[in-house]
Amino acid sequence: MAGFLDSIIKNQCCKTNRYINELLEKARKEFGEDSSEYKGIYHQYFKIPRNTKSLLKNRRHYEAEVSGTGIPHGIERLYRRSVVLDLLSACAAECVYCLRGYYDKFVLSGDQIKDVARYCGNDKFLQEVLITGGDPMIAPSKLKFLITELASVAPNIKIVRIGTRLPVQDPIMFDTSLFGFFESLKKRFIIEIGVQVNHYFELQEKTREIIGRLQVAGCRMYCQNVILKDVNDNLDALVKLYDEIRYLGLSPHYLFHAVPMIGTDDFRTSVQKGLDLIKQLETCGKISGRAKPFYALMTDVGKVTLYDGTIVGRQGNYILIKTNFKLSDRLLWNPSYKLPASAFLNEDNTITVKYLDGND
Amino acid sequence: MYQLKQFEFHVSDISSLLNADYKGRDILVNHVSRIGQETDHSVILCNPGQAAYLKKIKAECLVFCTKNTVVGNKNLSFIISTDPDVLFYRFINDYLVNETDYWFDEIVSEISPRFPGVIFGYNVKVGKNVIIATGTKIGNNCIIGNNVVIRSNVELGNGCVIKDNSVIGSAGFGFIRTDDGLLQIPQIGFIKIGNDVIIGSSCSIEKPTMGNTIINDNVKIDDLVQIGQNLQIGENTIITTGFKAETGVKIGADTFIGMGVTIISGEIEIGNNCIVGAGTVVLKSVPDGQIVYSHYTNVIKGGSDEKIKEAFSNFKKIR
Repeated sequence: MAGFLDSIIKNQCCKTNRYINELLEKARKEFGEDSSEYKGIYHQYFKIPRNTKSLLKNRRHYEAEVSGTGIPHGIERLYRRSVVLDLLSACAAECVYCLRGYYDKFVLSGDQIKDVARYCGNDKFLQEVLITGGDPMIAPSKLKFLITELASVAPNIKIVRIGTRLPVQDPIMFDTSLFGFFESLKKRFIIEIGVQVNHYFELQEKTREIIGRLQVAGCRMYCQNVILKDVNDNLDALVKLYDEIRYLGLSPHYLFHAVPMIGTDDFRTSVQKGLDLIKQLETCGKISGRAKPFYALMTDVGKVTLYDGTIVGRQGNYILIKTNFKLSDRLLWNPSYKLPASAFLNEDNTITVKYLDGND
Repeated sequence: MYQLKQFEFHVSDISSLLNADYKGRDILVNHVSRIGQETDHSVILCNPGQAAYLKKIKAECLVFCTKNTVVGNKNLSFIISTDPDVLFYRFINDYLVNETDYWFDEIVSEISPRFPGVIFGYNVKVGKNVIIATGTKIGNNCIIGNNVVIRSNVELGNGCVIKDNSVIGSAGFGFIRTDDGLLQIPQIGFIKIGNDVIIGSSCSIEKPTMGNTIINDNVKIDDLVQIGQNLQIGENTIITTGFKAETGVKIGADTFIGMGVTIISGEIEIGNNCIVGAGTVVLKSVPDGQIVYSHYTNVIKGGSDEKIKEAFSNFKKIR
């Protein structure tokens, strides 16, 4: 979760758990401290970020909380058909670069969960929810309650996606009753579970077992990844990562450029380096086309996959990203949405947004 | 039915999960202990009367307690609440336990070929040798134990637990004397059970001749209880083992019925916020807020909120 970089920097102490500590020790013993495996764990959980002056100002990855009279807490919405439901703010461990590190601490109550489900059921355009946090898998009883409420009062919702790092961060804590739960709901929902994995060494035996059992339970598993400096910002690390992801039957999804948020300077490569890496990855002949991700930026106005013509210019340290999002659309399903200061409207009402580049 | 999971939390995360303040270091905890048996990384609950003991603890622990119970001891971190026991058990229920999976046959959502015509909610755990009549409605997240029988005309809300060997919808015990002997009165009424109701092992909830037997939201019924025909039980009421009642009795909300209480007339009403002591045979109605015991002829005292709260504090259960 919740990288809480302020406290990490202040205390010079990262928040890890027994499993992550053991994983780092295993990498050190088996591969040594100069290895990609050791660095892949160390730089995600143990590296103390520098408290340097930075151009990074954002405390959230984007501002899209739905607000207004009668609107429950915990809903973010950028898109017509899908909505993000934040169940709680806590995670099993804290990735130091976490994009939700500055969110307020919270956990939805039973009544709030009912309100959230009702909100979803009252919007006929909604078809999909993404349940995230924090890590919703650390609160299985609340997660089950939310999903069964959605099943009961939101017949329009067809897809439930869940974002988690628990199988990677602390598989021992994973609640095994969730397997049967998901299996029992597979006729009601398509259940997709997204796991963020940034280095192949994170995919240890216990993690693999959980992913396998979720697949047997009927969950569609996919994987998101972030290009992180000194973790996976080279072709070899990415090839190994995507090979392992494919062997486990995880669908590749986004390969993100590291989000521009306070405290993430040390993890961010340039956007161009990411472009070079994805180009090499997709044309090197070392991985299958079935294992190729989309290279994407998490901009202030939402996720943008980089295609020809997406980058339309540069202003100092910022790259101009042309999207096909329309402000008028956004306001239809989220009247409280405000265009961020980093974005402007084009003549065709689409949005262009400034995106802070990183350094190699 | 429930088991403790392996877990590891930082104190700051527990504080976040429970929306509660914490004091002390952000230590890791990974097991639950009774106060007096704590070891490093324990989570313990401390009542105000045990504050002196906290000073002696040498293990690195997290203590759930009130603000006034906090002591100066560098080994301890504190989750502070005006109601620490509620928070402590809520933490256990919501984050540290799961249901054991060895006893149930299947988890059902909407329909099951095993129970044709039964309308299930989602995530209903059903045990072995269970019989459920066609047309029964069962809400989300219910747990139906082994050997449970649910007969016709029963509705069960969300989040209910029926423990092993109970019968819901057993025909009420009603006969008329005739010249030809005893004529059985057909029991064709309904049983309506609200949300988050727990019914203990080997209970019988009887179907009425006509009308409804009603158990409202959040009622908790102990093992070996007989709920007679047309009984009505108000929200949050606790009924302990051995309770029996005549047809038509009404019990209010937030009331506590002690062990072996018998109510012998269907005309009797027990009010809201009452406590009926163990073994009481209730002969007449009990007004709201009263604490009664034995053969009810005496009111021992007016049931002030404080007294009732104190009496109830001994009956918190993990769900």
